[in-house]
Amino acid sequence: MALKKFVMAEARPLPVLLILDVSGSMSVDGKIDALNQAVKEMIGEFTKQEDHQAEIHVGIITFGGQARIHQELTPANEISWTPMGATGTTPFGAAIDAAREIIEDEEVIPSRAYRPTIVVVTDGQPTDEGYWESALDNFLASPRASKAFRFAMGIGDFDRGVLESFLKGTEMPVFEATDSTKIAKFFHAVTMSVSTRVMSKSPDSQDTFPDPRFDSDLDDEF
Amino acid sequence: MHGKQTKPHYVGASVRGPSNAARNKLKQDAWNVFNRSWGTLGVVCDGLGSKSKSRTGALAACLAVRDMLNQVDGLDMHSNLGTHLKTIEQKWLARIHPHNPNDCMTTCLFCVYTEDNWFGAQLGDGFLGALLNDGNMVACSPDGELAFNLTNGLGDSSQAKTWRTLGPLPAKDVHSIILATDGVSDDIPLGSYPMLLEELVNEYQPLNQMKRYQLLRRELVDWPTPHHLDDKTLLALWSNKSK
Repeated sequence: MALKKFVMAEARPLPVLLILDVSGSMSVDGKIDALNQAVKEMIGEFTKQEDHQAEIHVGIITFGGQARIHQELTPANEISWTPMGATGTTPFGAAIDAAREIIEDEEVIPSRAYRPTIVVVTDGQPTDEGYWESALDNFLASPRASKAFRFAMGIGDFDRGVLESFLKGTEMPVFEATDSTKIAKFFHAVTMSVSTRVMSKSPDSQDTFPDPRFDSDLDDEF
Repeated sequence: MHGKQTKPHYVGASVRGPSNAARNKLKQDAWNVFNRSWGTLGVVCDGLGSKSKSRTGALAACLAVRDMLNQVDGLDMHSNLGTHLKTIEQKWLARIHPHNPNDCMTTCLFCVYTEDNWFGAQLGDGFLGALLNDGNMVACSPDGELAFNLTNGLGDSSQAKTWRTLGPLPAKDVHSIILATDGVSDDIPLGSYPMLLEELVNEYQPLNQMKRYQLLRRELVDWPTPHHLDDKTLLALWSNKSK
């Protein structure tokens, strides 16, 4: 019968939302280049997923001078990668606001989607002090946003408290990268986590976590 | 006492999803239709796959709703509703004993046809809606807390349980009612339900009960969404007064 013609023919999406610091300090010591390369490789890995249970969508919010959408949430295999530049201040609160708006928009992320993965990467401190705290509170109070899997990486002289606040309510530690070479390893771990989910029969579960001892043992494990 | 009333037609089926099949687990969805002197009950439950006794919970929930209706001899839809819904949980707890309620967590959607009215209630995700004869669709309001396959239900102690209700709706105004677990409803756009129900009633009404079941079951097995995983349960009811 007819039931078939009313049923969606698209697989459920699994959104991966990256909130990336592209402030001026990221232009130092090759950090932005390493970040561009790591994100590009992650998207490339997602397009190779064949035996998957969901369609991975990737969106990128950058914050450097201002928060902006660098990449609309799009199926990974439809993304034409554009590298990010690094300049300006670190408006973390505005970026978190933008992420919350995306997560709460059922037109962008339908309820049938699998639990999103949200990743924050920063190498400094928010420059919108007095604002980012309330923005993060609003984010964590959002029923949809709070259900997402969250990862955070701090590079160099970052503010650990900010990232710990972002991860509040999860069991995830803050990943630390003492230099730009660790950026790729962090994204590799996130890629593995997402890939494991889309290939499992329970994409809403996250049975495996990237190793939290990022700065010490990860070289041996990947 | 209840006056003589006709029984509604129905078609329902439930199939195990690929996720449970791959893990060699039984289906965690359950459904049933009960015809009693007080009227007809249709119920659909989705045991949470992550819980060890969710199948037990889902089966018990179907019976718990029936137990409640038997106890109160039908549903006085204009009063004591909160008490009736509370009674369902008490009946459910009795049926799952000695298991831990959290291990048996399940959604629960039901509709009752009694005294020429339809009434529905929903706890957790899935879809419960009614197509009216004027072409409009009314449904239990969506719960924004339930996105991303995270739901509440019977046995959930971590958050407030909020039953959402539908009706009462005069039977003369109702074309049909649909109840579906999220394995079905997540893959059907909300705007499609009116036409789906129209076609479903037209197609299934001429068939006998066994043929209805076989055909619908086949449709659920042949689900067209790529990489679908969940168990799937769909139940539709329509009264003889439906046009």
